[in-house]
Amino acid sequence: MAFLRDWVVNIVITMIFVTIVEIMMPGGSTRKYIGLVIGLMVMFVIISPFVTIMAGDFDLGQSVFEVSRSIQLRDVSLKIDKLEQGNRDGIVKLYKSNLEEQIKKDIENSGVAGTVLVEVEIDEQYDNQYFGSITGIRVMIQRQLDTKPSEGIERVEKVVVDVDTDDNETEKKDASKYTEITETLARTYNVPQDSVDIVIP
Amino acid sequence: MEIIQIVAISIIAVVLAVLIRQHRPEIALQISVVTGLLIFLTVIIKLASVLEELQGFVGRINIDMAYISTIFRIVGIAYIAEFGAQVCKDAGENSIASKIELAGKVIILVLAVPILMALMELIIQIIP
Repeated sequence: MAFLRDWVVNIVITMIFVTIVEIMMPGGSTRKYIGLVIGLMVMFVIISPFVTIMAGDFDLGQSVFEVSRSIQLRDVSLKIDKLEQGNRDGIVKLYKSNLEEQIKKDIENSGVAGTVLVEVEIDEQYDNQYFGSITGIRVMIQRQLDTKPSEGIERVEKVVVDVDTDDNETEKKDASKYTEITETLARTYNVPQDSVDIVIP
Repeated sequence: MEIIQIVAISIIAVVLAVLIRQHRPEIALQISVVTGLLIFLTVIIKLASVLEELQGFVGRINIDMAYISTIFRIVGIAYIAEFGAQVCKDAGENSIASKIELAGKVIILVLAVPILMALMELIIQIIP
């Protein structure tokens, strides 16, 4: 009989508690979510005698703790993954920029006149065994024009286009220099020559 | 009587906000936010003492206190989310307000799921 009394008292106290919480609840869209949790609590209080009889020593608190711990662990592991991804992206970016700077210096030291722009492609797949290896180098050389800073507006001279002029000699020189650069880059950075691309706009 | 103080502060704030809104709408918004915060802080302290009392009352029943504290935490989150959303709505930023509500719902759900799972496990155990 005492067991029945306890059960009824539990239900009554729970109902009073639920009523007070419902009064305290802020009005808005979150109301029904709080209602869900309160409903679960009421359900647990009602079935608690059956739990004692049928499930024995079931510890609800322990069970709740385990589930919430597993959710927290998953959350932390997701955050760690995100941080690692951010770190990897930062490392790859820095590595590429250092490589590009290095290649730019190499080309400038080889005596090429003009502005040099370098783009490097590397293997960015972290799981790949060749992670970080260079897959392609693209060099853009902007030739410098022999222009002096002018004072005021210069008079435009008449432009004569002579298609018969023979520039073959200069072009040959340039081509041999670029081939040399391609070979040097391919050898230094262990890249196939086809992957080194020199563009002269 | 704190309600008189709260209502007096609110009426003064409303008059100020209405007067200033025509010339400086941003200051009017700040007045409204500060007044809201003042009222919220005054009431939340009282609510905390009520919750403590309630916790002692519920301690009599044979239920895990983790459950009760989760319910209190959920009510607190709901209050804070609601307050933030109302401030955003006052400023005319309904989109941000709805995002705050969404965040509140998600956090409440994260707290509710362990209880739901535990109860489901229990029900599965007691069903023969």
